[in-house]
Amino acid sequence: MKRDYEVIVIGAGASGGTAASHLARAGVDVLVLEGGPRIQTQTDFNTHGLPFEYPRRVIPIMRPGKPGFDSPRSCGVGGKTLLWNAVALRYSQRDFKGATREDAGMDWPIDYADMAPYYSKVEREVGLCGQRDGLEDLPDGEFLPPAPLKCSDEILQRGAARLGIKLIHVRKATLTRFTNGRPACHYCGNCMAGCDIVAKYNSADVQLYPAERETGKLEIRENSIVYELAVDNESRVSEVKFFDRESGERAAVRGRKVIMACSCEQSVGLLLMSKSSRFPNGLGNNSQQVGKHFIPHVVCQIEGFLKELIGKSTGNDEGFLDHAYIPSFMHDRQRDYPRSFGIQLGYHNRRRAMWARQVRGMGASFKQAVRERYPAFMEVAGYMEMLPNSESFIDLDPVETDQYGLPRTRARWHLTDSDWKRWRDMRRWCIKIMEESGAELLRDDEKPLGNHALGGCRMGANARTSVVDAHCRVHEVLNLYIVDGSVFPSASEKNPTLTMMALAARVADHIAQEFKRGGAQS
Amino acid sequence: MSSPKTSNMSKSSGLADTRREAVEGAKLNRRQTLQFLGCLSVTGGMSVAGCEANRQSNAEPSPPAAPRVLSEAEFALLSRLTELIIPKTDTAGAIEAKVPEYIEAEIAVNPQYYVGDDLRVLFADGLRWIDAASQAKFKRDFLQLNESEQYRLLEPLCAAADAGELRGRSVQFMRTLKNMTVDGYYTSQVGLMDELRYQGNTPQAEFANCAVQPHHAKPSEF
Repeated sequence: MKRDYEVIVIGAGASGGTAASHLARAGVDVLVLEGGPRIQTQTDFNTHGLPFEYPRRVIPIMRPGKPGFDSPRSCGVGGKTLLWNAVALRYSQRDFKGATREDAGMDWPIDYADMAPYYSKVEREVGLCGQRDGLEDLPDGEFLPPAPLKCSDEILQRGAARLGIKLIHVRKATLTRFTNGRPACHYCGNCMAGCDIVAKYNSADVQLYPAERETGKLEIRENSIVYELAVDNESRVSEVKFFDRESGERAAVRGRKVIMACSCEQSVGLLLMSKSSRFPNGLGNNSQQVGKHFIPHVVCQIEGFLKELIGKSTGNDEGFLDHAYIPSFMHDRQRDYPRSFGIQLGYHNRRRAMWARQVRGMGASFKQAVRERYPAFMEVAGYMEMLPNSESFIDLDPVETDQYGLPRTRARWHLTDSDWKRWRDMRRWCIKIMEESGAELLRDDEKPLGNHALGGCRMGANARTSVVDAHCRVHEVLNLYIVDGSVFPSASEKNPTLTMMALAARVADHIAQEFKRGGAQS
Repeated sequence: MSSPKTSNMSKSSGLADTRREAVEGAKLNRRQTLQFLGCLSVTGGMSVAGCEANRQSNAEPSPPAAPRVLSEAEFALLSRLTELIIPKTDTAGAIEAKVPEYIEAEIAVNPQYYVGDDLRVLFADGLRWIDAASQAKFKRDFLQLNESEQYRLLEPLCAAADAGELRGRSVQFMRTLKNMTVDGYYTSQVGLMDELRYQGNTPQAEFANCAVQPHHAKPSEF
């Protein structure tokens, strides 16, 4: 390992993998530091585990003796893309300019037109499947054929249509045709247990390892936990300090530019841990904006049994989990809250029947009732955008440290009255769509859940109200960039990972162009 | 009820045959999938042989026998209770699925997610309450009752638990007992594979869409 690189990328997930591999392919000399280990995708996960193989009926993610995912700082090379569900949606102009449109929240300092070529680039690179639906609010991408809708999807499609709501094929970063040496999905239902054939995109097997092999410009150092970014008198990152996860041995490297892609909370955490006399509140945080404007997705889940399927026989229908999606429809309708929500559905696999607890009764008739309902179980999850507020932020726990002795991050979110109106309307619509589709509903506990951490280092033109600029460069630290979900100034209701990847591709392009021009003084 | 894989061929319509063939044809067994993959060059130097070998070593090595936390009498009563919740029908019941053993092992570990309660205390109290209620109503211990009497004692408790009326300790016990019985049964091999007839976790070359899935046929048509 050298000491000096042109670019150092911290984090080897969707954003880090995209940025690092694109830079290396553009001829830039890159080091990736990843807190966790290298993981052998095809052998290290319990991809095909079943609950009865384990005495406590919980299937461990990793096979015995295989490291990985032991803390948020140390998932592994590939990060959460190794276990994600792969839903891949483009944001629309409404998402980038939501504040201009509705006077709520904050605009992105870029337009859809700025991002469109990078969405295309990433989609062609990793392989996306989906249907071209021609929806203004959910732009079409570069698609392989979609997976067919499931029975339960078609039942909901009919029910939603009766309410004037459109249900479409889902779009995923999972292959439905053999592409670039990777096989098509074989619908085993284990996407989130680790796709051991790499039909589903992960940043390690699809981007990082090929670039490492093919360019000679990419070095990946796993088991490297970055704990501080040191800064010089010109407000530039001078050293990236890390320790080896296994030996504890410390080291430091230098990059002309540094890109943080640690994932939302971890990027905020790293800035806050990097205090200095120039930056007493944490690196890049003289503005006191770091950690603020935390805007995760907020979710409701409604479950039930589709009467049309009760008593029918079971099939091999886990597929690649969800095959359908209900895009936002409220953004165009009369309502008493800004922004909107979308609905994910049918993403369950069938090897756990937790819902059986809620079936009434006991004895032979109970057993029969569970058996009949097994093929009929269906769920929908509404995902909504929330707006930034002063009570939603990420900070460092002043007391709690993790197993590496580093402070834990704390993320808290709080719904305002306006957010509650949106959440209740979202829940109401989820129930209505299920009921219109002939569902026998299960009780839900009416509590919002959080998913998809976003915000904390938001993009903006104004250095007083944002952390990074339109090229994801930290306003206050001239050679530091951030490309993960922490930079989102607004969350949309759409799954964010594809947008993170397109953003990372755009930033990589920008930096590569700068190096080519011989600039890179900053 | 016959399994979907066997059928009265002579009784099914031509359309059902076509549907079934389409579903069967779309399935790949795992060996076929691995051979299919073996023909392709895949990134990252993955080896197909690795997949096979690792499938066999998937399960954990057998753990040491779980510590006993219930007396013989308590275990016998627990067993009967689980069997009343999920009895033997055309498939095995809770006892054959080793649900009492699963519950006892969980009690010994006393996991956090059954929160608010020390499970050992809840079960000791609950099992004792069952016998006390049995004595009060029938002047005999629970295991001395016939099945009909046992259901008469438990069904109101179960109904209260199902309705979410969890104020009484006995109802809380019933709720936890039913939850754990259901969890243990439907994650067992017997419960998941025989009773629910889980078909997933099986590679297939194409995903059979709604038109060819067996959902449209009632089980007897297969």
